[in-house]
Amino acid sequence: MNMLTTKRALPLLIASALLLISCAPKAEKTADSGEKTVSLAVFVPGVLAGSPTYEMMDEGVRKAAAEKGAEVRTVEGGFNQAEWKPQVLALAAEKKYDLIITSNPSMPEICRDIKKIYPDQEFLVLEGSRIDNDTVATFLFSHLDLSYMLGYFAGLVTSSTELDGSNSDLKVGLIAGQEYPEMMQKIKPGFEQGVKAAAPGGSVDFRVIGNWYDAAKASDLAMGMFDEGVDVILTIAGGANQGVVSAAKDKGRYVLWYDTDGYDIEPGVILGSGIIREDIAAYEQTHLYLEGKLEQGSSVYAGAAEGYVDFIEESELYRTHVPAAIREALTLEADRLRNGSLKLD
Amino acid sequence: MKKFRIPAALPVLALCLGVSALIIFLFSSAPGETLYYFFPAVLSNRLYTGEMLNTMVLLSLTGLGIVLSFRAGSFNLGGEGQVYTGAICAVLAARLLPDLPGALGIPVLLAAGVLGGALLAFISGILKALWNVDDLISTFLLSSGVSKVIDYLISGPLSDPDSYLMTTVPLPEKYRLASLMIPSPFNISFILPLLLLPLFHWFLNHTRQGYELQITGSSSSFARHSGLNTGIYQTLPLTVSGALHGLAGALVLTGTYFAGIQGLTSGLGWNGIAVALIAGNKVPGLLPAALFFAWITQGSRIAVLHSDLSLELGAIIQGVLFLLISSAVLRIKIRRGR
Repeated sequence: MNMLTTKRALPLLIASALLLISCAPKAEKTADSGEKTVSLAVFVPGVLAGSPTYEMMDEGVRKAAAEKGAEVRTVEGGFNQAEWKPQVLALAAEKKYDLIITSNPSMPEICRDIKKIYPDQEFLVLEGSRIDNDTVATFLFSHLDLSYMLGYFAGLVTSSTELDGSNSDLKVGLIAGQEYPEMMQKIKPGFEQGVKAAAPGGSVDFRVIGNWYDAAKASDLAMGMFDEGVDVILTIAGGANQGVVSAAKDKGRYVLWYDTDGYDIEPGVILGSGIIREDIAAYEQTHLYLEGKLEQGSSVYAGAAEGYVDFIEESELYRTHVPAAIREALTLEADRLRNGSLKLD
Repeated sequence: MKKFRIPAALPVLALCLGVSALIIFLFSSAPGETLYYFFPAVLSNRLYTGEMLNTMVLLSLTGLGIVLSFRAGSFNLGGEGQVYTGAICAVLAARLLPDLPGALGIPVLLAAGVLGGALLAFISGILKALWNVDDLISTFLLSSGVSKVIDYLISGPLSDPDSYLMTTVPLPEKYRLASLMIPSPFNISFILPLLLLPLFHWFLNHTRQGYELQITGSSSSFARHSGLNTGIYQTLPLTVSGALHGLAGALVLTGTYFAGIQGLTSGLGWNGIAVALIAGNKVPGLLPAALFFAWITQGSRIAVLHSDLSLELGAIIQGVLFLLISSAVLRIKIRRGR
């Protein structure tokens, strides 16, 4: 009986399989009749929702593509790092996308490996990391400039007598999701340098969570740091940032936000916020590519002077919660970076 | 004529395909295209096919581990951690013995993985044999705990300072299994299930120990009263199950990722259970079952990349299938068992 049904089902199965194959997307026959439209893929190493930096990148690419009539497909890679390479490899294997745009310091190493297999595939990595004789185009933001400004601000906050949450200890905190080269070579040194410039004798308590999502652990770490006399923490820990914010709220202390406008997240607790203009970089670089001017292997390094990283001072919440003396002192120092008279290295 | 019996899983598989097609029709704006990427596109180029075959090899090994322990009456829910342990033990072996020639080094790495996975499962097995600790709980808890420790090792002491990923230093070229279908990770390891599956099938059905193992699995008290050494059959099959998972872990390292990157298990342990269930807990069904599951996983991955199927929806489809398989197969078994 069972066997009979299998026999009957077989033609049906074959028929449906054939139907599926016929559903295959048609090859672009229009390509001959006119100019081929450029096709771009945006690979998000994570998910778009709740990741403002990736949203900014996607926005920037789409803006440039709309102006130039290119197609964009955005692909979310999810949080499992191990999956990213197979996914980007599959994008390249399809040979459908002229340029794959992505953002994250870990992506260049993945893209370089794929470039060895598909040498014709072009890549643009924002927020990348550079090596000599690179094969992919990267765009690097000056984390040194940004962390210096935030460090300077943290120094002003911890030595302030006007702020309720600021104590006499000159201790500030830095919480990171993981130890990665950019963090250890740029962000941490820049932050420390900034703190010491504003508060000589100040010190930075640096802690690592070990992942980018554990808000509970982040909160525990932050609580401990606040108890030891830290009054302001710069948090760079993705989804775990929320834990630092809630700890600061409980303890009446302060948090600094790193790369997107964070003032709205918890007014009065998020005292200062930096920004990385990933949207502008994505727009400009994609535009360059569409004009045929983006070279593989090229690398742009841009900081406060070029306007790609900054400390956000134009927020109403910033003006309400931060005493005028601190704001003025910060403007003075930040302007030196913005006009290029202060160069960090 | 030998009576041909349809495996219990077949109607379930049809149901699975139906449900995934339904989900795609409901949520995709171009269901035809999405369906194409979900099913036939897996064979459309070497990369997709090779990745699928590679997953199939790994799943048939973890599935074999599950079948073996299940036949002996043990539940191995710690597959995920055992795979991870296997991978990290191979990483450690490569670190400790950097100067072996490749032909020797790769077997050593694999052996390290086997040992690691076996050790982890052995703990649960011996706990069960000595104090009747529930293996279902102990394998799961051990695996979860150990996974956290391995996560720590990878992001801490073993991490690659030059990489931005949470990963260990890449294996030297000589310790990698060469791809047979460039650029996919499909490699020589496909021989292993072809050897191991018949071997275990023979062991279970044609040896005295295999028979005693299955008696212990069907009723441990009956086995004990028949004078069998049940302790052995409560410890060893679970240990070997762990060893097979560890082997899969070492293979993922040496053949697919070439570095101990966080998350490299990607559900091999859990999906091994699904594969074992589809196979009806019988060794001969493992290869087709692994093929089915590998196809679905690969299909949903490709569909997420190339059609408007979102990442979450791809994961949801896989989750629904897992649920369907584990519940439906068990149910059919119960009904037939009555």
